[in-house]
Amino acid sequence: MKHRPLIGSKIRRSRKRAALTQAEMAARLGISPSYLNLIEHNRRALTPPLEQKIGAVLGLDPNALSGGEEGRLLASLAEVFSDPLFKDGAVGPDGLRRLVGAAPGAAGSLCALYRAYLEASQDTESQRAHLAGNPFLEVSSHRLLTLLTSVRSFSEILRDNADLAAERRQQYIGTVVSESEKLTDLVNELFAFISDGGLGKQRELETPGPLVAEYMETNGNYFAELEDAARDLRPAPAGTGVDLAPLLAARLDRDHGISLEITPWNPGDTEAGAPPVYYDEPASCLRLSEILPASSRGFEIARRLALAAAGPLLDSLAARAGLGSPAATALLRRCQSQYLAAAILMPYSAFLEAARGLRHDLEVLQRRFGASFEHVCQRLATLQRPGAEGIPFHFMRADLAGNITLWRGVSGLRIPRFAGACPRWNLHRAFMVPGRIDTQLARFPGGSEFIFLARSQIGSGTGLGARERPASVALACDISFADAVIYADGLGLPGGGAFTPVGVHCRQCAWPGCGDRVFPSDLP
Amino acid sequence: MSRTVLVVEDEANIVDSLSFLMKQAGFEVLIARDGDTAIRMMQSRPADLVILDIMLPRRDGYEVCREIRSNPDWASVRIIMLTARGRESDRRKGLQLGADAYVTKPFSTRDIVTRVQELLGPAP
Repeated sequence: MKHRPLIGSKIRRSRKRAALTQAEMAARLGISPSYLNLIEHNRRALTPPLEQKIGAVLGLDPNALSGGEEGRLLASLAEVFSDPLFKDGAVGPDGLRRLVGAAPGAAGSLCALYRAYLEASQDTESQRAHLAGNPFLEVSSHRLLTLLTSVRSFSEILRDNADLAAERRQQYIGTVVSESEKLTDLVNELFAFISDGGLGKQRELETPGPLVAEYMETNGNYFAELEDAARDLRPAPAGTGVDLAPLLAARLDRDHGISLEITPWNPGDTEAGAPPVYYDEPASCLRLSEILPASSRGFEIARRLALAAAGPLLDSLAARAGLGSPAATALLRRCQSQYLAAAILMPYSAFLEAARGLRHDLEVLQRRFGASFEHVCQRLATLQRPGAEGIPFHFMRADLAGNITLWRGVSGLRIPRFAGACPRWNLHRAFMVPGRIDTQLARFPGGSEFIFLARSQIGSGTGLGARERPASVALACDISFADAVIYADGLGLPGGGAFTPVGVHCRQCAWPGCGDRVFPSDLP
Repeated sequence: MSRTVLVVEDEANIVDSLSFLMKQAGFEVLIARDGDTAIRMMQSRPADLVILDIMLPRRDGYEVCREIRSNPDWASVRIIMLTARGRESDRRKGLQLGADAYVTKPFSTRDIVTRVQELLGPAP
């Protein structure tokens, strides 16, 4: 994994802290908002004059952006101490300089500790959710109260009955002692469960998704090696009206001896759990159910070809990521095989050109490349090749319960990782009118403004009785890109427009008087 | 004739302490360790008051409560729900099903005796 300098995110954070939108700051710097966006995502190097300007606009230490190790440390420390956590013990610039001068090692450790603290607090919501439904804890808490009840009632009986017969007295004291011992064992079990065993291990296995999403984002959600592999695997130019599916299937058969079979769907298949996509490994046969829409059929054939032809590449990419968790590594490999399949069907340059030409008309892109709505949206979020970037989009998908089940992209949007997200996002509202693209202008408390495009699908279109998995899919980008998005026409941009005040999660949202608030704000 | 209290609870130690407390307060005590037994005992000899745990083997406390309340012969039987779960929804559910009172574990022994005495009124 290539390590990019983090100057971009530092600029972004400082800009948000200064309550400037990308458009406002770009105007002050005399550059275009899209150029600033690229800088903020580390896709454009900073020239020294621009660096000075940014420093001046944001009031940053001249060393803060690109200065030596000491300058970087100083800037990081200043950021740490700007956290409300330290409001009672503010340390001024002089103090920070003395600290860095006297003990740079300790200052670095302090920053590391702060990062760990931030990560830990972000995980609190997930921990809460995990604890609430844990069967071990449920049983334990019942057991705990039962033991406490025995201890308490016998102790009170002993207290209130001084004249108790000696034999009975001994019996009750014995019960108190033995129940207390059981209590001790139970409490020890609980501690062991919380400190290592249960909690840590289960979390690791249950939620590799966020780790993979973070990895994809760190890499700009763009992978040059996968794009190159896609070029080699594509049997014919895509997006020209030629159906790639039969050509891909022929290649799969010729080069890898994998045959394709379209299987008839029978009533009862859903109940029997028959998957619409099944790879019969011993028989080297990809079996696709006839109920699969044509776009998904093409995608599945491309994915099988990706796995058969680029297995070693996928293995090495996943291993190199160093995610440190077998579940996350396996998930990353799967996601990258899907990335590769999408790249085969929607070639980078042709797709980027079409997207620009069509001003991101998603449904026309769908038709042109024979892809599903979701795959088109996901692919748009990967168009970040350095030097040939598309709009920095975020892709996300939600289920009916409001859980955001998948997200990718580098738009700068923060994604609520757990249920309890802001209900005002049209990602959720889109379920009310399935099949129609809903457009929303959203303003976050920090001042950033996004355009959201969301569409839900209720029926899977795969026949009565097939298992329905309703999903809502959305794309989001900074409003500075609105002129390149056809759905923004007529919304009153730039300058006007009806913005909905939204947040990421109530706890980190400060909009006053929000009627949709379900949690109090943690912000001062 | 002394009045009877039926203790429906599967934890042996809690049965012991409740039965000591009730006997000491002058009540006759019957014991059932699960929901089915509780109903059978009520049929053979109805108690004046039932102390009813919610988490019981076989039939849970809510079901026993519902069954007692559906029988007009037992209309005067008083019911105290007893549970480790102190959640408001459980309390409300118990009261809706016709329980007269609700005590949360770990209970105070003086408190539970007072509640029983209040519900049954002065001895006849």
